[in-house]
Amino acid sequence: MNGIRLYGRYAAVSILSQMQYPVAFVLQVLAQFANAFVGFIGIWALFARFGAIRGWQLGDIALFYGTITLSFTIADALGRGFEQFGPEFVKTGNFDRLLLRPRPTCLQVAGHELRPTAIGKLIQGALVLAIAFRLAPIAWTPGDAVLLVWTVTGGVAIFCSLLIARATLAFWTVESLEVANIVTHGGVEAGQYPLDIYARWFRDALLFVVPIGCVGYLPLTVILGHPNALGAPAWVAAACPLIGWFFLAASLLLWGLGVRHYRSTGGWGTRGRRRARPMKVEPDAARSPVRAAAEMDERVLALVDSGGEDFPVATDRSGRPVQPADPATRVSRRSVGRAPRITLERDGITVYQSSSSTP
Amino acid sequence: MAGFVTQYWWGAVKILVLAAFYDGAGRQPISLDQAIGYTWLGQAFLVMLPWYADPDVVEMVRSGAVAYERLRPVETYGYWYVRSFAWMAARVLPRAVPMIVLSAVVLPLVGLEAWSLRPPAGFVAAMLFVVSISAAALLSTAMVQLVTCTVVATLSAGGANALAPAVSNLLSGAIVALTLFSSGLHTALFLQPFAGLVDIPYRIYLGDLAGADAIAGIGLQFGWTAVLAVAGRAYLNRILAQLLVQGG
Repeated sequence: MNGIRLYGRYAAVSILSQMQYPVAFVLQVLAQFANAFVGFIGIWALFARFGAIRGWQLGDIALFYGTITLSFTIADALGRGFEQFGPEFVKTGNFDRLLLRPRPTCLQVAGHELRPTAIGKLIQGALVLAIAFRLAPIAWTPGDAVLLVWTVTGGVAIFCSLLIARATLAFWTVESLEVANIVTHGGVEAGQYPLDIYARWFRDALLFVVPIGCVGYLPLTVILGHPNALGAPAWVAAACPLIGWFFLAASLLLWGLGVRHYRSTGGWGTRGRRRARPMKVEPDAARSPVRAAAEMDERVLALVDSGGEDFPVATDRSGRPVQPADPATRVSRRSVGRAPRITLERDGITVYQSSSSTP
Repeated sequence: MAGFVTQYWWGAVKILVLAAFYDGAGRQPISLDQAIGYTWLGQAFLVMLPWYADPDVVEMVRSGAVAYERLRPVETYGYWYVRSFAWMAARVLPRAVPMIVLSAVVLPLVGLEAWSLRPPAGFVAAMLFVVSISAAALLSTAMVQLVTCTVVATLSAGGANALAPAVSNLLSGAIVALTLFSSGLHTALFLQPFAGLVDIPYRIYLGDLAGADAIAGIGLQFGWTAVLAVAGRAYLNRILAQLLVQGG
């Protein structure tokens, strides 16, 4: 319950922030509407020329088109966060922050951004459905209305599941996988028409592989009183949108798997992605601080002896280094107990002092 | 790459739908083979449509860097026109070439010749197509300039920028070939400026527009380009005369 309230808050903030520029908002809604609507004008033009497509009339197509548009648009508006998930959360390492919060990660990602401008496309989808109600020969019963709503919810579930599955892949690939668009957008494009107009392999792919047909074609043929290509009985076709919910459940399981696999990209520079590990602590250094300090001393002395830019070494005629190499550098050694102790001074300033604790 | 695969797939779905429409239909203004070719060409040259204002110019106006642009001793409209043209060419060529190779060469090789882009209708058609598609690019650039002008004038990427894709997609023939609209509209659709972006060059390629008609089409393309360029230039000069530079 708490989660749902939180999601409501996310949604409200997201919508409010995008409504800050009302004129731009209205224009975007208008643009979304216009861009979607010209697509339907194209279909209308084709029907004006050809009359029918394999026996289907414009009103029938409007029902398929409107339904699939509504479900896809709702899913797209809800799952915007998943769409940007790869570049916005995994690549930047921002997903770490979500993991810190004691709320489900998919809830937070879903709430990341809502797109109220989707209203434009929703209006278009509703308008096309209205055209379908007017043109298609449907004797509406309450059962049909319920079936239509049930189909749309199933469609929302399946498109959400596709978005989540695509986002989950980003746990492995980091980048967003635009190729997955051919499944979602291509499926929507194809699902705007009754699937029996397509070649068999394509129809079967849209029924059994990515079952767009189960949240459009099959249940809608029941409403239209049209036999379906599979010869499935009406009650089976009407139950099909349930598959969308199975897909959603499966995608959430997959998401959990992805989250468990997640390795942050943060803090390891730009040389590709590495698994974040705690810094390696050398085992014996961890065991003996005295010995670690002694090793550090040795390293500093080696550095001083080796010369180089920081510690120029004067040599005698035979090329042997002369100590002290650099008059500005003074190394004093003394032993405190068993541990050696050195101090390195340059120009009178202490730049290094053994940190060995007195045993 | 991903965009390319998506675009190719969209073309395939569009063709499957068209084939279903043609199945059992009588004689149409263009044959199914021609409609398939039209669709593949449409996918190949898709980004040539005037969808957006030039993003560089919009950014300059937003940031105030447009002031430097006014200092250059070049004619601003011409300069912006050329850079938009270059921007467009750079986006079109890497997409168009592989799309044409894939749909015209690879598809027949894998036995899907019925679904492929056929070669141009003839040598003359091929030559005229080259002229016409170049003219389409020039025309599209002139339209991009007009959209850019409105963005400069309103300092907002909404408005014309938001509606340009819908109008140009529909009226150019990118959604449905203009010849497939009902016959009564053909003359009006042929004469309006957007036809020169898609419909005229593609129909020249397919041999549907040949001889005097093809010449008339190319003439229309150049005519509209000139009209839009002159109008755009006058509009831009008026805007720039009263432009307030942001920043400081």
